[in-house]
Amino acid sequence: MAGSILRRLASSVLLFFLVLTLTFALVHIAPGNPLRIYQGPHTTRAQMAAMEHAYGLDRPLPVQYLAWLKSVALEGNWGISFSHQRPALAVIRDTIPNTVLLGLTTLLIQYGLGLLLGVAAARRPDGLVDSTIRIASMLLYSIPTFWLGLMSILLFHLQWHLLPASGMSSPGTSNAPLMTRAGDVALHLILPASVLGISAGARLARFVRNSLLDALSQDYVRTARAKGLSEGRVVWLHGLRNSLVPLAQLLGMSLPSLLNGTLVVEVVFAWPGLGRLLFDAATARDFPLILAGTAFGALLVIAGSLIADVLHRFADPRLRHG
Amino acid sequence: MADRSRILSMAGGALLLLVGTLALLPTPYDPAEQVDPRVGRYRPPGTRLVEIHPADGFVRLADSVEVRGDVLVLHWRHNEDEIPVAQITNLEDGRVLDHRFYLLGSDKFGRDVLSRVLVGARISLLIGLLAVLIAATLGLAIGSAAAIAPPWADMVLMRGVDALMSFPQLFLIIALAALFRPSTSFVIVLLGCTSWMGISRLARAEILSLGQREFVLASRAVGQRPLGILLRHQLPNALTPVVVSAALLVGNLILAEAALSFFGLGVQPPTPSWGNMITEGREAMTDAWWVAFFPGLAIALTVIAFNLLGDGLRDVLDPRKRTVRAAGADETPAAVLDADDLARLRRP
Repeated sequence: MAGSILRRLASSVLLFFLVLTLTFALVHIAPGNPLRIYQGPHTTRAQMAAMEHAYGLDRPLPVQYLAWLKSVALEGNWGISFSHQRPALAVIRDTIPNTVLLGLTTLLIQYGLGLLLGVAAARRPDGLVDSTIRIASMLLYSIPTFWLGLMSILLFHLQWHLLPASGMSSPGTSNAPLMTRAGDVALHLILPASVLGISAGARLARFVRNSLLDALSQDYVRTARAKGLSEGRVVWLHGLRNSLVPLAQLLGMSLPSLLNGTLVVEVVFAWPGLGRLLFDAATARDFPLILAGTAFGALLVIAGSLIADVLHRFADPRLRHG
Repeated sequence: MADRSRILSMAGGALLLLVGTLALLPTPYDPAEQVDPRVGRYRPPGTRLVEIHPADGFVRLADSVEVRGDVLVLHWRHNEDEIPVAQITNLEDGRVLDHRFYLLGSDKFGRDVLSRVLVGARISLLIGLLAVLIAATLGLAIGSAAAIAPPWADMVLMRGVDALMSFPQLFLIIALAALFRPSTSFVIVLLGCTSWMGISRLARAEILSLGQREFVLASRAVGQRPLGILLRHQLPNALTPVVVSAALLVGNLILAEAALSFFGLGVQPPTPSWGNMITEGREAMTDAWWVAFFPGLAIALTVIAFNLLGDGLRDVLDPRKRTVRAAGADETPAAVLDADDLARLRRP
């Protein structure tokens, strides 16, 4: 068990190194001078050259790559963000908890909805409920998230004034007691997390249905039915318990799409997370921040799937003892 | 079951045909034409305006008109304008002959939303289809290369694919779109080059499993070369699942393009795309919901069409339901995941 987790950890580190290399390569293929934002009408060529020298951009690419890798891996130094004039790592560190909060809430809604709909659909395959859920969930996940977000802002914020739709706290609450602030954040969380969670949950429902049907066709379920257990016990305890294993595996694999989703929602709802930061960095051509942001996005995915994988190993007795 | 799938895929096909036909039909109005924006801007769906053609060539719009003596009075919003009757070319017996009908409303420049949604369909379908072509070609090429390559090269390729797949796709796309100057052709290449990984995995798995089948073993036994076997036997047989996941991918790509254009990093105005129309509608959502609403509806309909088609195709083409072992499944014997469910879960 410990050995296999160590192996998994090693391959994660390798994966992260590959991710770093790819990010670096991609950003440096891009045309255009990253220092152009500092270039005024009277900036001389010598000043530009001095600036390039100061940032080390005049060195050969492999040298830049090695120097960058060394400072990133050994010193945790991701460079100074051009647009924030602060260390890129510090800028990013502020946003990660917000993205994780949004992501976890989304997962909660996604899995709650997905399990409910999936189980309901698997009760009677190809029945009325199953077909309705199949069509409804297809409708839901075909709707663009950003548009769903805008429409929910239109209805719940602009029209009915029910929920806040921008940022993660109301102005003037920064000195309020902790509980008030937490409640305020929760209120701001409802719309973005629901928009994302509902459309992701619709996608998950189909998968839960298939995997539950697979589990329900096994011999132990027939045994459970034969010994007279109620249908609810059979489905929820015996069937679902065993379809959780592929679900745990799926969790790790769906993390990139979760992060894609949070990026969209963060931009639409002005949620101060990693996705929105990357979006702003990209528009400002802030090279260190783009590099760090993309890498941290991938890092979140790799770390998340590592956690999901370890959970999966604990959830599956064959792997726990194997 | 098969009947139901057939019905669904036919519904998808029909919907797609409808979208395609609508996209190719001439639009009711010129999608870029700004006629009298003062009067025509932000008109709700179903608005019918009088269209007056004065001799000076500047077309005027009005809610209603009446002839008062020798002038035509134009009523619009809370204003009144007067134009001498003699100067109007389309007036007959005190009635103006032309009208302008905004079935889906008008935007801030008085442009017809319906015409723009229809033209947007061309762009979105074009981008989705060309990008999927790139993705499927790359995926097939890299997947089959990995399948017949020596083990170490296979491992290097697949680890590279793993690394690319651990990027949240949208993070990568947005970083790149911002670094290069966005244009329509760039968006096509960008989307195609960032979404082939799922197909390459699928193609590799399929080709490897076909490699164990009797007809391939037989070809190998009679001494055919590996490349020949790949091209003549393995690739054609691996195409079915690839086509299905490509159909589902088109939906994803259209969604990705819309998101990208919505962010201002995709198709650039004045070329109308559904994504940038929603951006334009965003600023006036309280007063003119229709500007952002209808392009979104169009995206949803198109994506539904491709999803229905892909879902149905999968069931129809392969009733046994092709399944693949998911990544890392060699350690987990029970976990058999549906390839297309996975592909769908990976969408941006």
